[in-house]
Amino acid sequence: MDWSVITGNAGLLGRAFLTTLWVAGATILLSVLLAFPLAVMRDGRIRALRWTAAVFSWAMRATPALTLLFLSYYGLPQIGIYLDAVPAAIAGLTFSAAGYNMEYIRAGLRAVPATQYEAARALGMPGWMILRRVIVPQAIRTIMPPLTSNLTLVLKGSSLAGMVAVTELTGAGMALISETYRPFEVLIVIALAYLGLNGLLIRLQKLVERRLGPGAA
Amino acid sequence: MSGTEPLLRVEGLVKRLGAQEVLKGIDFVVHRGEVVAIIGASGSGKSTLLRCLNLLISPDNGRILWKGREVGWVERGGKRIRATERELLPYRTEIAMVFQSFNLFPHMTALQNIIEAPVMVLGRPKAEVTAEAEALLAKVRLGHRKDAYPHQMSGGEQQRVAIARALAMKPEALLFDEVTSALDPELKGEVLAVMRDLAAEGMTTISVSHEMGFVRSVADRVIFMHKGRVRESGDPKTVLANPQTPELAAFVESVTD
Repeated sequence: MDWSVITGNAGLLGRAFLTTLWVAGATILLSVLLAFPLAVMRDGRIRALRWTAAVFSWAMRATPALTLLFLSYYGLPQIGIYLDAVPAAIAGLTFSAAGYNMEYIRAGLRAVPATQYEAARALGMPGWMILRRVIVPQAIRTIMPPLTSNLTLVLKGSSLAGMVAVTELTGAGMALISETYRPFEVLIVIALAYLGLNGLLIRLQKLVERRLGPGAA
Repeated sequence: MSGTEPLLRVEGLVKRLGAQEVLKGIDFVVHRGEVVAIIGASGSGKSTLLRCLNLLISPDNGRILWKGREVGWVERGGKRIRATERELLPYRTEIAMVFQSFNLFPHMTALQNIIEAPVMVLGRPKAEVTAEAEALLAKVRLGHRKDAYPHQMSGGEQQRVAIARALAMKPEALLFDEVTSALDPELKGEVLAVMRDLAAEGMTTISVSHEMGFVRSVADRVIFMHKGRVRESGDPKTVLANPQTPELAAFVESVTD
């Protein structure tokens, strides 16, 4: 075992760690923000929006994340849209993740009993207020566990960004291995880094769940 | 009260659910301060009627006049069309509803449940609404429970909070949809006591109820529904004592406690 391969390349691995944090963090945030309105549209009253959301969900889940990633990095320039590697990776991963996120959010929104809508409507609340004040706070308890589970997959999936020349953890690690022939040490450190990042994500879930406070049915 | 427009006037109300006609032309009026009870076997259309009154479901035909003005339909470009949900909101704040299964918001305390709509919908100052809500909780004998969440309260307590929540909107009429049906017998009394207080204060209420004791002693008028029609109506003491139709006679027989 020779750990000097790690200490000697701490700078490279550190930067790769931050890149993974940035790509995964941005993907998680954007994909959740994108998925919420899509989930609402999917079960909403407006037919065209319902249809749009359904097609989005189907297309994003049916296509490999890697294909979407390649499409945004290699494909888009052909139609005049040039994205750097990192934004292209974030875009591809975000669309892929949003397709799944919206289904978990939708399931949570549906789990709130119809009588809650009825009570809120009877109090004269408009639709958006019912959603924000009554439905989402209740649905979030149902949404959090499966959504977080999906987000750990998204975080690990950020390693795909290495395929479009983003120097994130896995990509940097593979480059390092081909130089040093020390796969064990490098991969153990990379595994621990993912472990730490996902540990953070799960702590965040617990924090959100606790902040929602008591009163769950 | 003669000569004045009734608070609520219902004319020829029809509601279809699928192929079935649930309400087949309902007519009645409710005057300010009246306590009206709607009775009838399950499936007679009582709850559907109540939900049509505040337009939680929209009737297929007929008219509802609130203080002389038609609600649920608007004139647009010379055509009579259904009002949008948004156009119904002001009306809903004037006619509050209490449900069989309470339907409190589980993520809010008793107090938060009560102040939610006055603050968010009516845009009233929170401090003022909170003071009123505390008074309402005291009135339904739950002054000590303001910080309790629904799941920490008994059914009777939850229903009294639900009544306070409805009253906090300062409605001009209250709709009660079988508000004691989901409660254990020993808890019905505390809710019925609150309903009696409201009647005594002159609150206009329209209740769907199976509590014949309450109907007999508190209601000014009873409406007996059968298969989507009003079969009998009038002073409960007279109507219930001398049924004019075999349907009401059978119903009174079946619910005699």
